[in-house]
Amino acid sequence: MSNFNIQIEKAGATWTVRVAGNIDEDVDFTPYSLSGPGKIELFLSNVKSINSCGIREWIKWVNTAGPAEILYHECPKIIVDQINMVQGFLPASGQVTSFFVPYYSEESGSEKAVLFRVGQEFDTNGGINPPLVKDESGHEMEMDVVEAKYFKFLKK
Amino acid sequence: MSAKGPVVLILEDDESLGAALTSFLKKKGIEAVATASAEDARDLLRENRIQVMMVDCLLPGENGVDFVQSLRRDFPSTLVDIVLMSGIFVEPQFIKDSIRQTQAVAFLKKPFELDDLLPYLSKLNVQTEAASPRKGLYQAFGISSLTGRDKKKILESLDDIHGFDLPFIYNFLIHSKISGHLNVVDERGNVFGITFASGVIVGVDLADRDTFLGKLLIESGYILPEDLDLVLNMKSSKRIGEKLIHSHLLSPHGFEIVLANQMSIRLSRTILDSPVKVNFVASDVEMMSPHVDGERLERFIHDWVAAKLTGEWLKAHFTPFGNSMVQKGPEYRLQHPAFMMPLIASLERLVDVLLTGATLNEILEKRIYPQETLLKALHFLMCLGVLVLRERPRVRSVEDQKKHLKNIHDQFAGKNTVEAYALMVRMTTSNEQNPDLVFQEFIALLGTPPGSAHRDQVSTYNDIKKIAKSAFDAVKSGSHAKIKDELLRNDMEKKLKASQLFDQARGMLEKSQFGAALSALEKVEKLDPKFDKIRLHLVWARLGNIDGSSNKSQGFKLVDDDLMLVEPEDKFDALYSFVMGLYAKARGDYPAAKRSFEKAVAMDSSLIAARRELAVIATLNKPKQDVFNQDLKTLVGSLFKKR
Repeated sequence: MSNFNIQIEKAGATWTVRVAGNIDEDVDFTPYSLSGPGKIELFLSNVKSINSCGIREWIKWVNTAGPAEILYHECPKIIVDQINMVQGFLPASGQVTSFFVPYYSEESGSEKAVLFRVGQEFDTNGGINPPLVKDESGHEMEMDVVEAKYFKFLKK
Repeated sequence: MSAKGPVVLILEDDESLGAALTSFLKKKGIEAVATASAEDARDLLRENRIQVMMVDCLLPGENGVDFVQSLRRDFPSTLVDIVLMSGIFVEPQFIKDSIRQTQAVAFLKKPFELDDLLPYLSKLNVQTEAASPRKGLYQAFGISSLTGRDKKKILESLDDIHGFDLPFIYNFLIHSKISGHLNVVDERGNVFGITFASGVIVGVDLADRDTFLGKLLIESGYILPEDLDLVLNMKSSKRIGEKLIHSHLLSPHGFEIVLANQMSIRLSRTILDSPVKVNFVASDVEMMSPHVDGERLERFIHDWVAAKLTGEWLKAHFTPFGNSMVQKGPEYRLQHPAFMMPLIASLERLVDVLLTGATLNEILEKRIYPQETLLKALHFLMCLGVLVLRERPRVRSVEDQKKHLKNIHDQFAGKNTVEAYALMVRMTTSNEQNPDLVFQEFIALLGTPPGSAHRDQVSTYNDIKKIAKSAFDAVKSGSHAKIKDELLRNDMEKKLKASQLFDQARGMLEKSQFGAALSALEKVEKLDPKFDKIRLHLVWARLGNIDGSSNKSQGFKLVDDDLMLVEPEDKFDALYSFVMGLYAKARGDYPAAKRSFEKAVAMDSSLIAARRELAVIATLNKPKQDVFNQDLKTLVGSLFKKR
């Protein structure tokens, strides 16, 4: 069963939308049209999984925003992967303001998701400034992604 | 995680420099090994596929230049590039002499910047090979130490692949028992996906109207169109199947059969002959029924490899593996059911031939089997993990390189610039929209340029490079697009002609003019080898001709070959049941023929040919009342009798 959840806070011309859970064939976006505001702030850190059906529904849903500016905040890896792979997953009027980058320590085997923020860990021209991340034992962790693939969307 | 072992050997007595070089190369994706002992270096060279050696000129008790010269004598056919290093012997004359004596590609004066090394490594292709995620995928079954995390990383690293890579990925996911969603985007931007739950496929999502459940239920004879309309008009959040079962219009058993068929057809339709992008989202997924387990998937993979994968794709796919040896994989066992499947069974002693320790290029050179069939069989067994390909654990010899280049050269024969570029894309599995990358990866695939002593190879190498450069220039200049448009137009014209010819052939089949129909269908196949259901129609025509044939066994062999090439999703079509009825009838098995014809009529009541065959079988069962002696009313009645 899907544990999908959407919360929308409407404050004038700006809506704040929080999406959580699994985005799949059980999800119905129709009650959550994004038509109306001039700016939409989407918070995505609690999205757990997405399948192909969910991707198609997502694209239809974000298109209901029309020309409104859409900001994707706190994108987990699965969302970044879809932005990189699927045309229209991030609409033309959309922009990523922050996203998570997985880190891994070969010494301890521990994993960590580190938030990259626009203007700090990355810029809109595709440049990245990765922070130094250490595991609990103080070992330096490495980015656990294929960089050329994962950061591709920054250059689009 | 690497299956390749080190490709760079560092002979350096300064341990800190050795460690720094190894670590630097590792970060660049290049596996290296360092030693301070010349004796160990010889062993490492024997045991590994070393492509570059970095040698310190001043070794304890030995001169690096003398050591390399002795290597050149002892390993005359090796293609190892030598990079000499020294902080003491740095006089220009010494450098010049040592390069000449050792045929080194470079001499680095210590201290040097680590990045100074890269020009001598990039020409060796090691960076690209080590970083090739697709090649890593196909070698995954050969690495027993892979953890679940490693497997997920292999999948994550994949990006631009080909639709024909999907069978391997499906089985890899089933074999790995990883749960989650494999999301796929085709070249038109359509998104589809396969859902895996702990070793089985539980869902295939494909936006395909032909396989909508309602349509399949009607086609399979489980419901009537009005039943579907009735439930579609019901106001309920339940799904079609639930509504039909709840309304007693469909049995749960029938529903499960159609769901399983839908999954099979859709799964087959995902095996596309075009580039795709993939992304795997690991996730907890519930086990559901129906599902496709490993055993069933193996049969599907057999049919996909036999019927869908093209010889051209397979040749390009195996090009980077030409110098690899075939070995037993983790799933190898003598009684493996795969060995009984037609593709393998049709090639006598195949596994013995493959497991001789020869490289793939050496096996292909022997021409024991038709090349395309051999590659299909090998690919099928590799998809299942029964066989794996491993890099030959020795230095790539001049002879290996010669075979590698010849194989590539042969594939370019007769190709125009558009076809040549398409082949480069296939061989490298690069994104065709990025010609710089395609060209770069293709040149890397060629390997180290042969030394001037090997004139034939130099000529082949330069020939291939010239073809690749022309193709690359055509793409860059825009003339590629014009040629491609023209080829597409030609292709469309051929398809149109094939379609017209096919209509005529179908009419001939209906009128039992099998000889003329076969000739027309063979022309259709030449014009458009992927014409919809061409294989089934060819079988229909061949079986029609078989009665009058003087060599029935040859006729049945051709039919068997054609049946192996029937696309798996077509096996759920009424025409397939009809053709299988004809096959059974030709073999004299009338009860089986009757069952197949009845199934065909149930699936498609407008299939007159199947009705006619049923009538013929009915009359055959009543020998005293053949069609010529029946009264007209009975004959006509039996021809148009509703089931």
